[in-house]
Amino acid sequence: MSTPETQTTDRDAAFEREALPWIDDVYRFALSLTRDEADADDVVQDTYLRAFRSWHTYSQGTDCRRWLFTICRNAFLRSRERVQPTVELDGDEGKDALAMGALFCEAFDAGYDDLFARLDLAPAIERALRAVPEPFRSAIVIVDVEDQSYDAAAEILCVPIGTVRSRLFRGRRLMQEQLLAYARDAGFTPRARNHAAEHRHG
Amino acid sequence: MVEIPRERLPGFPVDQCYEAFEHVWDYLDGRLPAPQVSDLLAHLEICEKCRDFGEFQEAYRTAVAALRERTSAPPALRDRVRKTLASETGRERW
Repeated sequence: MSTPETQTTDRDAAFEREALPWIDDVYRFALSLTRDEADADDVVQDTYLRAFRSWHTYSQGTDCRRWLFTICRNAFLRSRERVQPTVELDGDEGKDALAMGALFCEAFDAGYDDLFARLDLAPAIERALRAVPEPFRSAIVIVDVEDQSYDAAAEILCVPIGTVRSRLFRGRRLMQEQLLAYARDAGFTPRARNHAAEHRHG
Repeated sequence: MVEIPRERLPGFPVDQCYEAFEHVWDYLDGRLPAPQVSDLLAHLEICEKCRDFGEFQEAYRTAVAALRERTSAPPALRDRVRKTLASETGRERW
């Protein structure tokens, strides 16, 4: 029979094993929400304290990162006293998808169709992500950066899956608009393209 | 659903190209239903510009996913969290 002491030790060990290894992920998510390193530190500390205190509500062996992200988002909202949900804009994935098609045409014409394969783009991607407004930024961070599922994103953000999808379309479009503008402003060298390929694409 | 513009984008002549703008992302996200996957892949097989569009989106996703490797929790924050947990539990070390 386990004593209260061994239960406490087991709880601490489980928390250390399952929750603490996600601190980098929680920090990145907190930073994407706060856009300020000191504020992100506070949110992460609050997240881990709240997670520890409510560890009994976590089902061990399930997705601990998803659980921590949910706590992190709530900790952030509390820190900003923004407990009311943000006003949702009407999703129009079709319009955003068409805009991405048009952006691709622009990128192709400018010789930037290899833009995202360029190694020197990473700092610009970070800046672009910080500039994407909420609620689109969180969707991008959870799905595109942290590689979580739509289901996880819906649970963390407390929205339907369809809303996650429409936020992703808008967020990705905004990211690509910014990155293409950055490539132009920074004078990225257009990709050398052979004439035959250009002719083929018309 | 993508509304097909009156003046079509250069290199994207058919209706399926405009469906592909939306379906490529559902496919990359693993959320496109199987029958539509077949339709999309069949279209990409014959439409080079849509294939390039898909590769462009995939490269975007790879580049954004790489941010994951660029940022980690600072050591001071790790210490702070461990100290908070130590203080909460009365354990000396975390």
